[in-house]
Amino acid sequence: MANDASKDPELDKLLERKAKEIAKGVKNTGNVVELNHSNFNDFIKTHDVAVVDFWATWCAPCFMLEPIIKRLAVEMPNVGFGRLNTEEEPEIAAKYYVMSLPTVMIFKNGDPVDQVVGVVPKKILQDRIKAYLND
Amino acid sequence: MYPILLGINGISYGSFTECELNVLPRLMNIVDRGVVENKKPQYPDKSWWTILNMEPTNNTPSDPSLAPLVKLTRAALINIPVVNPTYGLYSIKLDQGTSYEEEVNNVIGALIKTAAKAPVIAAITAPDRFLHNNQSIKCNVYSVIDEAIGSLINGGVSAFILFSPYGEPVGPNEGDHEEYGIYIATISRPRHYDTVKLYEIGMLFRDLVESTLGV
Repeated sequence: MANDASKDPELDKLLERKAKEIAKGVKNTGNVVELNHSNFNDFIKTHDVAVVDFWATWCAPCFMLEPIIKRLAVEMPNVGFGRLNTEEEPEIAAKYYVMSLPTVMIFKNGDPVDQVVGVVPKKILQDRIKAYLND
Repeated sequence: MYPILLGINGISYGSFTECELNVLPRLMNIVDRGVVENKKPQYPDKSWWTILNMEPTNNTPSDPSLAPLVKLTRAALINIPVVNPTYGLYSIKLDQGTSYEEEVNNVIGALIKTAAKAPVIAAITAPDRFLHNNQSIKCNVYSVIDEAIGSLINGGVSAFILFSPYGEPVGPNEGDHEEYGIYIATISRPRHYDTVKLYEIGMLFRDLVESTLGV
Protein backbone atom coordinates (compact mmCIF):
# COMPACT_ATOMS: atom_id res chain seq x y z
CA MET A 1 0.00 0.00 0.00
CA ALA A 2 2.76 2.41 0.98
CA ASN A 3 4.53 1.81 -2.33
CA ASP A 4 1.34 2.47 -4.30
CA ALA A 5 0.79 5.69 -2.42
CA SER A 6 4.31 6.97 -3.13
CA LYS A 7 3.67 6.54 -6.88
CA ASP A 8 0.65 8.85 -6.70
CA PRO A 9 1.69 12.12 -8.42
CA GLU A 10 -0.95 14.11 -6.54
CA LEU A 11 0.37 12.83 -3.23
CA ASP A 12 3.96 13.59 -4.30
CA LYS A 13 3.00 17.19 -5.08
CA LEU A 14 1.21 17.50 -1.74
CA LEU A 15 4.25 16.14 0.12
CA GLU A 16 6.57 18.44 -1.77
CA ARG A 17 4.41 21.46 -0.95
CA LYS A 18 4.27 20.46 2.69
CA ALA A 19 8.08 20.02 2.79
CA LYS A 20 8.49 23.54 1.34
CA GLU A 21 6.17 24.96 3.97
CA ILE A 22 8.19 23.27 6.69
CA ALA A 23 11.46 24.49 5.16
CA LYS A 24 10.11 28.05 5.02
CA GLY A 25 9.19 27.88 8.67
CA VAL A 26 12.60 26.71 9.71
CA LYS A 27 15.10 29.54 9.39
CA ASN A 28 18.54 28.62 8.16
CA THR A 29 20.82 29.12 11.13
CA GLY A 30 23.87 29.88 9.07
CA ASN A 31 25.07 26.40 8.40
CA VAL A 32 26.16 25.17 4.99
CA VAL A 33 24.69 21.73 4.31
CA GLU A 34 27.02 19.00 3.03
CA LEU A 35 25.25 17.63 -0.02
CA ASN A 36 25.37 14.24 -1.68
CA HIS A 37 23.20 12.10 -3.97
CA SER A 38 20.83 11.22 -1.13
CA ASN A 39 19.94 14.78 -0.07
CA PHE A 40 20.71 16.96 -3.10
CA ASN A 41 17.30 16.87 -4.80
CA ASP A 42 15.41 17.40 -1.57
CA PHE A 43 17.69 20.30 -0.72
CA ILE A 44 17.17 22.23 -3.94
CA LYS A 45 13.43 21.50 -4.02
CA THR A 46 12.63 22.37 -0.44
CA HIS A 47 14.17 25.84 -0.60
CA ASP A 48 12.63 28.57 -2.74
CA VAL A 49 16.16 29.71 -3.42
CA ALA A 50 19.07 27.36 -2.86
CA VAL A 51 22.74 28.07 -3.46
CA VAL A 52 25.13 25.19 -4.09
CA ASP A 53 28.90 25.54 -3.97
CA PHE A 54 30.49 22.87 -6.21
CA TRP A 55 34.04 22.24 -4.99
CA ALA A 56 36.88 19.71 -4.81
CA THR A 57 39.75 19.06 -2.41
CA TRP A 58 42.42 19.84 -5.05
CA CYS A 59 40.86 23.22 -5.89
CA ALA A 60 42.67 26.04 -4.10
CA PRO A 61 40.18 28.80 -5.01
CA CYS A 62 37.38 26.61 -3.63
CA PHE A 63 38.93 26.98 -0.19
CA MET A 64 39.12 30.76 -0.68
CA LEU A 65 35.42 30.86 -1.50
CA GLU A 66 34.38 28.80 1.53
CA PRO A 67 34.39 31.66 4.10
CA ILE A 68 32.31 33.82 1.73
CA ILE A 69 29.66 31.09 1.43
CA LYS A 70 29.65 30.60 5.21
CA ARG A 71 29.24 34.33 5.75
CA LEU A 72 26.37 34.56 3.26
CA ALA A 73 24.65 31.62 4.94
CA VAL A 74 24.59 33.67 8.14
CA GLU A 75 23.49 36.89 6.44
CA MET A 76 20.81 35.33 4.19
CA PRO A 77 18.79 33.04 6.46
CA ASN A 78 15.97 32.58 3.93
CA VAL A 79 18.29 31.01 1.40
CA GLY A 80 19.51 27.41 1.61
CA PHE A 81 23.28 27.09 1.30
CA GLY A 82 24.93 23.78 0.50
CA ARG A 83 28.22 22.47 -0.84
CA LEU A 84 28.86 19.46 -3.01
CA ASN A 85 32.20 17.69 -3.37
CA THR A 86 32.41 16.99 -7.11
CA GLU A 87 34.99 14.24 -6.64
CA GLU A 88 32.55 12.30 -4.48
CA GLU A 89 29.46 13.15 -6.54
CA PRO A 90 30.61 13.51 -10.18
CA GLU A 91 27.20 12.51 -11.56
CA ILE A 92 25.49 15.52 -9.98
CA ALA A 93 28.21 17.88 -11.22
CA ALA A 94 27.89 16.41 -14.71
CA LYS A 95 24.10 16.71 -14.65
CA TYR A 96 24.42 20.47 -14.21
CA TYR A 97 27.38 20.83 -16.62
CA VAL A 98 29.78 22.03 -13.94
CA MET A 99 33.01 22.40 -15.95
CA SER A 100 35.11 24.67 -13.71
CA LEU A 101 35.61 24.94 -9.97
CA PRO A 102 34.51 26.58 -7.87
CA THR A 103 31.05 26.99 -9.40
CA VAL A 104 28.25 28.48 -7.34
CA MET A 105 24.87 27.53 -8.75
CA ILE A 106 21.65 29.26 -7.78
CA PHE A 107 18.46 27.18 -7.84
CA LYS A 108 14.94 28.57 -7.72
CA ASN A 109 12.14 26.13 -6.99
CA GLY A 110 14.52 23.28 -7.76
CA ASP A 111 15.69 24.57 -11.14
CA PRO A 112 19.11 26.10 -11.90
CA VAL A 113 18.65 29.77 -12.79
CA ASP A 114 22.14 31.28 -12.52
CA GLN A 115 25.76 30.41 -11.81
CA VAL A 116 28.96 32.15 -10.82
CA VAL A 117 32.30 30.59 -11.70
CA GLY A 118 35.44 31.34 -9.68
CA VAL A 119 36.04 33.35 -6.54
CA VAL A 120 34.16 36.65 -6.54
CA PRO A 121 33.70 39.28 -3.82
CA LYS A 122 30.89 38.60 -1.36
CA LYS A 123 28.86 41.60 -2.55
CA ILE A 124 28.73 40.34 -6.13
CA LEU A 125 27.56 36.89 -5.08
CA GLN A 126 25.04 38.36 -2.67
CA ASP A 127 23.54 40.62 -5.36
CA ARG A 128 23.23 37.69 -7.77
CA ILE A 129 21.37 35.65 -5.15
CA LYS A 130 19.15 38.58 -4.10
CA ALA A 131 17.91 38.91 -7.68
CA TYR A 132 16.04 35.63 -7.22
CA LEU A 133 14.44 36.39 -3.88
CA ASN A 134 10.78 37.39 -4.01
CA ASP A 135 10.86 39.82 -1.11
CA MET B 1 69.04 33.70 -6.68
CA TYR B 2 68.83 29.99 -5.89
CA PRO B 3 65.50 28.15 -5.47
CA ILE B 4 63.77 28.23 -2.10
CA LEU B 5 61.35 25.95 -0.30
CA LEU B 6 59.43 27.89 2.33
CA GLY B 7 56.93 26.13 4.57
CA ILE B 8 54.56 28.16 6.73
CA ASN B 9 53.10 25.86 9.35
CA GLY B 10 49.36 26.21 9.81
CA ILE B 11 47.95 28.55 7.16
CA SER B 12 44.88 27.98 4.96
CA TYR B 13 43.52 29.49 1.76
CA GLY B 14 40.26 30.43 3.48
CA SER B 15 42.00 33.07 5.54
CA PHE B 16 43.44 34.71 2.41
CA THR B 17 39.86 35.84 1.83
CA GLU B 18 38.90 36.44 5.45
CA CYS B 19 42.00 38.56 6.09
CA GLU B 20 41.84 40.31 2.69
CA LEU B 21 45.46 39.59 1.85
CA ASN B 22 47.19 41.31 -1.00
CA VAL B 23 50.28 39.41 -2.14
CA LEU B 24 49.46 35.71 -1.71
CA PRO B 25 46.13 35.72 -3.64
CA ARG B 26 47.79 37.59 -6.52
CA LEU B 27 50.74 35.21 -6.47
CA MET B 28 48.51 32.15 -6.73
CA ASN B 29 46.98 33.58 -9.90
CA ILE B 30 50.40 33.98 -11.50
CA VAL B 31 52.17 30.69 -10.69
CA ASP B 32 51.13 27.07 -10.09
CA ARG B 33 48.84 26.38 -7.17
CA GLY B 34 47.47 23.40 -5.33
CA VAL B 35 46.16 22.08 -2.04
CA VAL B 36 48.36 20.17 0.41
CA GLU B 37 46.56 17.25 2.01
CA ASN B 38 47.64 16.03 5.44
CA LYS B 39 45.22 14.10 7.63
CA LYS B 40 44.99 14.46 11.41
CA PRO B 41 46.89 14.35 13.64
CA GLN B 42 49.46 16.68 12.07
CA TYR B 43 52.69 17.40 13.91
CA PRO B 44 55.39 19.79 12.66
CA ASP B 45 58.35 17.44 13.16
CA LYS B 46 56.75 14.41 11.50
CA SER B 47 55.40 16.51 8.62
CA TRP B 48 58.80 18.09 7.96
CA TRP B 49 60.66 14.78 8.19
CA THR B 50 58.35 13.41 5.49
CA ILE B 51 59.29 16.35 3.27
CA LEU B 52 63.02 16.07 3.98
CA ASN B 53 63.00 12.30 3.45
CA MET B 54 60.77 12.58 0.32
CA GLU B 55 58.66 9.65 1.53
CA PRO B 56 56.06 8.96 4.23
CA THR B 57 58.21 7.98 7.15
CA ASN B 58 58.62 7.53 10.86
CA ASN B 59 62.36 7.67 10.37
CA THR B 60 63.70 10.68 12.24
CA PRO B 61 67.48 10.87 11.86
CA SER B 62 69.15 13.01 14.49
CA ASP B 63 70.79 15.32 11.97
CA PRO B 64 68.46 17.02 9.44
CA SER B 65 71.45 17.89 7.24
CA LEU B 66 71.76 14.16 6.47
CA ALA B 67 68.19 13.90 5.13
CA PRO B 68 67.99 12.85 1.44
CA LEU B 69 66.47 16.13 0.21
CA VAL B 70 69.16 18.20 1.91
CA LYS B 71 71.97 16.02 0.60
CA LEU B 72 70.57 16.01 -2.96
CA THR B 73 69.95 19.76 -3.18
CA ARG B 74 72.78 20.91 -0.89
CA ALA B 75 70.25 23.32 0.55
CA ALA B 76 70.89 25.54 3.54
CA LEU B 77 68.38 25.05 6.36
CA ILE B 78 66.65 27.86 8.25
CA ASN B 79 64.35 27.43 11.27
CA ILE B 80 63.24 23.86 10.45
CA PRO B 81 60.86 22.54 13.17
CA VAL B 82 62.07 18.94 13.25
CA VAL B 83 63.58 19.59 16.65
CA ASN B 84 62.92 22.11 19.41
CA PRO B 85 64.56 24.65 19.21
CA THR B 86 64.24 24.65 15.43
CA TYR B 87 67.19 23.62 13.26
CA GLY B 88 69.28 25.81 10.98
CA LEU B 89 70.93 29.17 10.39
CA TYR B 90 68.13 30.84 12.32
CA SER B 91 66.59 28.98 15.23
CA ILE B 92 63.89 29.64 17.82
CA LYS B 93 62.14 27.77 20.60
CA LEU B 94 58.73 26.42 19.61
CA ASP B 95 56.86 28.44 22.20
CA GLN B 96 55.58 32.02 22.25
CA GLY B 97 58.89 33.51 23.35
CA THR B 98 59.63 34.89 19.88
CA SER B 99 56.99 37.22 18.44
CA TYR B 100 55.52 36.43 15.05
CA GLU B 101 56.89 39.65 13.57
CA GLU B 102 60.40 38.83 14.77
CA GLU B 103 60.36 35.28 13.46
CA VAL B 104 58.90 36.19 10.06
CA ASN B 105 61.29 39.10 9.50
CA ASN B 106 64.35 37.13 10.59
CA VAL B 107 63.49 34.08 8.47
CA ILE B 108 62.83 36.20 5.37
CA GLY B 109 66.01 38.23 5.96
CA ALA B 110 68.10 35.06 6.33
CA LEU B 111 66.38 33.55 3.31
CA ILE B 112 67.17 36.44 0.97
CA LYS B 113 70.76 36.56 2.18
CA THR B 114 71.34 32.80 1.93
CA ALA B 115 69.50 32.22 -1.38
CA ALA B 116 72.13 34.37 -3.07
CA LYS B 117 74.63 31.56 -2.42
CA ALA B 118 72.68 28.28 -2.27
CA PRO B 119 69.23 26.65 -2.40
CA VAL B 120 67.34 27.18 0.86
CA ILE B 121 64.78 25.20 2.83
CA ALA B 122 63.10 27.36 5.49
CA ALA B 123 60.11 27.38 7.79
CA ILE B 124 57.91 29.90 9.56
CA THR B 125 56.20 28.50 12.64
CA ALA B 126 54.29 31.57 13.87
CA PRO B 127 50.72 30.53 12.92
CA ASP B 128 51.22 27.19 14.67
CA ARG B 129 52.77 28.80 17.75
CA PHE B 130 50.13 31.50 18.19
CA LEU B 131 46.79 30.48 16.65
CA HIS B 132 45.96 27.33 18.62
CA ASN B 133 44.86 29.45 21.55
CA ASN B 134 44.31 32.90 20.08
CA GLN B 135 42.33 33.23 16.85
CA SER B 136 41.81 36.96 17.46
CA ILE B 137 45.29 37.80 16.15
CA LYS B 138 44.92 35.60 13.07
CA CYS B 139 44.71 38.37 10.48
CA ASN B 140 47.64 40.23 12.07
CA VAL B 141 49.80 37.12 11.68
CA TYR B 142 48.61 36.57 8.10
CA SER B 143 49.26 40.22 7.19
CA VAL B 144 52.85 40.07 8.45
CA ILE B 145 53.43 36.88 6.45
CA ASP B 146 51.77 38.31 3.33
CA GLU B 147 53.92 41.41 3.44
CA ALA B 148 57.06 39.32 4.02
CA ILE B 149 56.31 37.15 0.98
CA GLY B 150 56.04 40.36 -1.02
CA SER B 151 59.50 41.44 0.09
CA LEU B 152 60.84 37.96 -0.69
CA ILE B 153 59.59 38.17 -4.28
CA ASN B 154 60.81 41.77 -4.57
CA GLY B 155 64.15 40.56 -3.17
CA GLY B 156 64.73 38.62 -6.38
CA VAL B 157 63.57 35.10 -5.53
CA SER B 158 62.09 33.71 -8.72
CA ALA B 159 62.16 29.91 -8.23
CA PHE B 160 60.17 28.89 -5.19
CA ILE B 161 57.72 26.59 -3.50
CA LEU B 162 55.58 28.18 -0.77
CA PHE B 163 53.45 25.74 1.14
CA SER B 164 51.87 24.89 4.44
CA PRO B 165 52.25 21.27 5.58
CA TYR B 166 48.74 21.44 7.08
CA GLY B 167 46.00 24.02 7.48
CA GLU B 168 45.15 26.36 10.29
CA PRO B 169 45.19 25.26 13.94
CA VAL B 170 41.83 23.99 15.15
CA GLY B 171 41.48 24.20 18.92
CA PRO B 172 44.20 24.02 21.57
CA ASN B 173 45.75 20.62 20.79
CA GLU B 174 49.11 20.65 19.02
CA GLY B 175 48.18 18.02 16.42
CA ASP B 176 44.82 19.50 15.44
CA HIS B 177 44.72 21.49 12.22
CA GLU B 178 42.58 21.81 9.12
CA GLU B 179 43.56 18.99 6.79
CA TYR B 180 44.25 21.17 3.75
CA GLY B 181 47.20 23.51 3.40
CA ILE B 182 48.47 25.75 0.62
CA TYR B 183 50.87 25.12 -2.28
CA ILE B 184 52.02 28.02 -4.49
CA ALA B 185 55.05 27.35 -6.67
CA THR B 186 56.96 28.14 -9.81
CA ILE B 187 57.23 24.44 -10.63
CA SER B 188 54.26 22.70 -12.22
CA ARG B 189 52.90 19.51 -10.78
CA PRO B 190 52.27 16.43 -12.91
CA ARG B 191 48.82 15.69 -11.46
CA HIS B 192 47.03 19.01 -11.30
CA TYR B 193 43.67 17.48 -10.38
CA ASP B 194 44.96 15.92 -7.20
CA THR B 195 45.99 17.18 -3.80
CA VAL B 196 49.70 17.59 -3.02
CA LYS B 197 51.16 15.03 -0.59
CA LEU B 198 53.94 15.99 1.80
CA TYR B 199 56.54 13.62 0.32
CA GLU B 200 55.81 15.13 -3.13
CA ILE B 201 56.79 18.59 -1.89
CA GLY B 202 60.32 17.30 -1.22
CA MET B 203 60.44 15.66 -4.64
CA LEU B 204 59.14 18.80 -6.34
CA PHE B 205 61.81 20.92 -4.65
CA ARG B 206 64.49 18.46 -5.74
CA ASP B 207 63.16 18.78 -9.32
CA LEU B 208 63.03 22.58 -9.03
CA VAL B 209 66.67 22.72 -7.92
CA GLU B 210 67.70 20.31 -10.68
CA SER B 211 65.87 22.24 -13.39
CA THR B 212 67.06 25.64 -12.17
CA LEU B 213 70.70 24.72 -11.67
CA GLY B 214 70.86 22.13 -14.41
CA VAL B 215 72.33 19.47 -12.12
